Parts: sequence; structure tokens; C-alpha cells
Amino acid sequence: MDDLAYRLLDYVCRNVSYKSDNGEFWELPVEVLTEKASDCDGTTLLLVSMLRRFYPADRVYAVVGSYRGYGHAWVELDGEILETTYTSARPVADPQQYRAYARFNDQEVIELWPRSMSRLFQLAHNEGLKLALMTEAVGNYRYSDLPESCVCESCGYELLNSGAHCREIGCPRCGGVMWRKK
Amino acid sequence: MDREDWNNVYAIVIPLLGIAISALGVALSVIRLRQGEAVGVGSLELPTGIAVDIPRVHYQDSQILLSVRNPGEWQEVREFVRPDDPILTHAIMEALSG
Repeated sequence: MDDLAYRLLDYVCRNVSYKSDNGEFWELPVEVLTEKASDCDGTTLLLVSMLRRFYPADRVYAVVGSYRGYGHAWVELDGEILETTYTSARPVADPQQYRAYARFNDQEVIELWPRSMSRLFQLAHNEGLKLALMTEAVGNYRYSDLPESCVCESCGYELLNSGAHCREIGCPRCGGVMWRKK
Repeated sequence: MDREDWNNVYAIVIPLLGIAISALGVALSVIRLRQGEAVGVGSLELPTGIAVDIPRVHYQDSQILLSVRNPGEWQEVREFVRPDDPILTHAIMEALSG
């Protein structure tokens, strides 16, 4: 990833907080920038739109597929995965867990196999667990302003090194609201 | 019991059995729906808590149409990437000035 792509990815990661939507609602770039909050598909569409100002259509794509079996979206630039749900730009910890179903941008759509896009919408959807798995994969990244651990108000599950603010993630076990551990 | 008694028993038991099987079918369907992921990417959760599948993708000629915003609203997938959107200019300048 070159410096330009790194700066744009870092901007999206730092300026758009994670917001899980109910069901599936793809937000347009203008909506994401206005709200400053979105989920994986919203931030992916924002970043790929920004990158398309600088890179030709055969180099940068929005990709929809699965991350460890859960529905997910990310950006690919020259085949490299750019993860927009991280809190800052950094290399993806576990690229082998990403499975593309379809790539697209404003010029073309590439389905990895016939009608793969329709299979995408049959994938499981659990944003809290997906983020927890990503956090686990990222491992030792720590940020001074982020909590060391979050506790679920419903079941008491404790998540260490969440990599995000507690309110931005759901409990990996029950989906309940997480709070910073005092 | 004679033949008439058996007929009376059947007249009562058979309809009840039919109702019981129908109710069991409905109950199992509801349980199956509830056991699915709370909100699948291709599903919609009703106020009752039951998730139902709704169509999200429609192939038309060489286009792929998605319904991922409001119900009944279909958009071609490429329309979601908007490099020419003027609002991006400010964000890009901000990103590159940092």
C-alpha cells in the first residue's frame, strides 16, 4: 500500500466510528461522511469511492464476501486487503480468513462464480462476534484511549483488548451492550 | 364397541389429530426461524422477533440490482461507488493534509 492509500484508509478508520446496522443497509459515501458512523459496507464504499479518484478501476475494488464465515465487506487495492473497520490503518492480521464473493467499483462488477452475489446475502451476520474475532486476530495492538477490557451488562462476559470503544461492539457471547470495566 | 361407536370415535379423533399436526407444523416453523441468526444479511427481523428471508439480489440483463436500502428500492451495484461525489473532495483534502 502506498502512502496515498495509507492516508485515505487511515482517515476513514479514524474518522468514521463503527455503527452496526439492524439488518442490512448500505449507506452511500455522502451519508457515511455526514454521520461519521457506519459499518463495514458503508466505510468500504466510502474508501473505494475516495481511492477511485486516484487509481484506475482495474486496481481498486469494493469486495463483498465473508470473514470467518460472517458477511463482510472490504477494499482491495492491487489485491491487498484494506480493512476499514479497524480504528487506524494497519495491515490485515489474517488475510487468509477473507473470502471474496464479488468485487465491484463504479465501472465493473466481477462475481467470483456465477451468481455469487446472491449467496452473499445468505451468510451469517453477527457484527459483535465478527469484530471480536478481528480484534483477537489483530492481537497486541493497544491504544491508550481505548479500554483494556469491556464487560457485557447482560451476561457478564469480559472481552480483553477490544480494540474499540466498548459501546461500539456487541457482546460476542450474547450480543448485549458492553461497558468499560472499572 | 360396535361399528357405530368406532365411527363416532374417528369423527372426533381425526379432526383433532389434523389440528394438532397443523399446530405442530406452525410451532416448528417458528422455532426454526427463531433459531436462525438474529438478523441475517439477507433477512429482515419483524417486530415479533421472527426473522424472515427477503430477496436482496436481482439479475437483470447484464446488471446486478441490490435491495440493500429501503424495502422495494433496487439499485445497480456499481451505483454505490461514487468517486465523483463532491463531498469527497473535502474529506480527501483533510485526509491528505494531516
